[in-house]
Amino acid sequence: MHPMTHQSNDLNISESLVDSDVVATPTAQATPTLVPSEPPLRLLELPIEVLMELALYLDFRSFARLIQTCSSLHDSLDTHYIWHRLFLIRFGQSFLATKLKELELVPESPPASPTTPTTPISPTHSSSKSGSSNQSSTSSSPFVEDGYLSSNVSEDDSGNHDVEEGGDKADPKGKGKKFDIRKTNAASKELLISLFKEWKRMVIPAEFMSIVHMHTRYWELVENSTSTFGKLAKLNSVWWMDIEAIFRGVPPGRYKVQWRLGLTSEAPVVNTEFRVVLFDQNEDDTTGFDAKLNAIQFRPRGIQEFTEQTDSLIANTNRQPFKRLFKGLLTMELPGELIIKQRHSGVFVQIRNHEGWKSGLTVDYVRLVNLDDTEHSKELLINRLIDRTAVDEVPNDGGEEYYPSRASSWFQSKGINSNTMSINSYTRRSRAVRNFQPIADPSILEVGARSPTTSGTSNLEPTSAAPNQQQPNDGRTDGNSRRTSNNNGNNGNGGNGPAMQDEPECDIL
Amino acid sequence: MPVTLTSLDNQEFKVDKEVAERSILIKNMIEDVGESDAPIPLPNVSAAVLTKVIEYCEHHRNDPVQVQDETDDPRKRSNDIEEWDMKFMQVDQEMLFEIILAANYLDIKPLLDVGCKTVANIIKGKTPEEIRKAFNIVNDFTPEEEAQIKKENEWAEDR
Repeated sequence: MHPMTHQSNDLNISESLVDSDVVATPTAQATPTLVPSEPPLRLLELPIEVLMELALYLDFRSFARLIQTCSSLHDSLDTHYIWHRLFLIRFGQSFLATKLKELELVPESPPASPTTPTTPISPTHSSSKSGSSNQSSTSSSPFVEDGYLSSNVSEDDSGNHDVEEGGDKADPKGKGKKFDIRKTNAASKELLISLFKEWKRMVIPAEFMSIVHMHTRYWELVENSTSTFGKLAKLNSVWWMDIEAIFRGVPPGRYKVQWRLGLTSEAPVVNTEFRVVLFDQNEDDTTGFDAKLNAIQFRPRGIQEFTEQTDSLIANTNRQPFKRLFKGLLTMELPGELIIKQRHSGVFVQIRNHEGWKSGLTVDYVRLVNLDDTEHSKELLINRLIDRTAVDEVPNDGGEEYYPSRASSWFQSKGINSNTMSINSYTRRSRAVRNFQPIADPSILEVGARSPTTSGTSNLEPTSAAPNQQQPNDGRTDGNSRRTSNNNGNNGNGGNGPAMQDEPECDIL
Repeated sequence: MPVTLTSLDNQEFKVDKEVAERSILIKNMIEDVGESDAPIPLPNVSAAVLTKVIEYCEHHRNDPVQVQDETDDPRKRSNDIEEWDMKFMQVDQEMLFEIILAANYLDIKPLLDVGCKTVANIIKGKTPEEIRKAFNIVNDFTPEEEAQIKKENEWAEDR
């Protein structure tokens, strides 16, 4: 039944799997549907060229897991060829070619891409990538000894096999250009893997960011045990604040951008611009981001607006001394989604504020969270239920300022702008979901990003939450909103305190 | 003009030439032999599998050849299987591999791709142990080897 099954048992010698000796076996069977006693065909019995083809559809994480399953898959797939192809699929060839040129690993026959970007390597990685093992391994044995692919690829019968990975989009036609794997074949498996490690990052620790005035009296890198990576970038004091990081070869998908920060003052974040720029890493110079369009821009005008994008347990910043807003490091999730459609895309993220003296900021990392990757999407604040009950019920210091109110979602469902009021709720979803006016001007949300004001999820969230709050509060809400708006900085009297105690039942979820 | 294909188990299938020629192997055979009524033997493909393959070729008889190179769409992605193909591939694992094997043998690249994508999708998101389970793979590493390989590939788990 499976004539080809037998000969491919050993993957290592399965070069000639096709029909040569199989032809001998057609035993004319009486009953066509009869399944003989042979065991069912298994993955491992597929010919090696099929397994290789299959491997190229995997992301590197799945691929790395696949080759850990057994020795035959490991031996047949953990090869220079597959890593090379996986690398090109993820990052594009001209990008690698440029890197090789930098490392002076120019290919023997130099059909170098005319579209090679001139300065594609950011200061982020090239300069600060200090003592990692990459550098040493690249200099020791950079060339592939076996030259496995030096001749067999471009003769590929149909000629269509490898064309797609070049990613040389600068070629206006795109099609006529033939991808040639030899161009970057000088990259050894070790080099490819070390570049993979460096460039695949979806989390960039502070150490690998590009921070203006780093390692001066303004900014320093400090060891810190609460940091995910052991080191925080610490802002002592600066006027020109500029923090940048670059993600490379970000696979197509929908992402959220999260910053992990420490904050002891509002100065570093209020009126600070949090930017995200999408670029084509095969084309774009990675130095000219200032002028590029933002995919996402967030500029909180006050600490409340900032806090609403974080995992802070404090609902109403007005009631709280600053030090209570954030316990240790905070996660801040930018509003809007980053939508990447093209392969070989890079993502540039930046925090900038060039006005006024600022201090009281530490930076741990910035990361992209794929909305569709189930293994990571629980990290998203929009997917998290943040319980603010415990904190908010603590009586306020002296009780002097009190703003009893509903969940802002209720107001929003009524078309009331909650940002003009002090809103407080007890248990509710992350504010990232509910934040409706995080951005002053919706037009600044540009290509590739979906504005939170237009995104379906943000709009749906409050309405679905509304019934919970609406029912028990009916009749009181008017009074509250009036109180709130009238209050406006006015010190609430003691009478509001008890009223507050009655209310928490409204938000039990 | 219809072409007759004979499966491993000697069943005959009459299909349009256009459909049969989705297979580059058959196309070349026909070209080599010229017009002929003689059935084409496919000694590597059972009737059950050939039925599926022909179903695929019938459905895709009008597809342009080598679609993937003409589009801007990234090719090496497993999440772009079209709906009909996805349904078509909802078969048990043995049949899935049989189809892949037949597509490889008959040289039907789009079918091979869909098959590989389908398997890739089964692999994605699984741990090594889960992959073993899904495909009945026996872990033949010694504990030392396994630890070593795990260590080598640990970086891929980082983000």
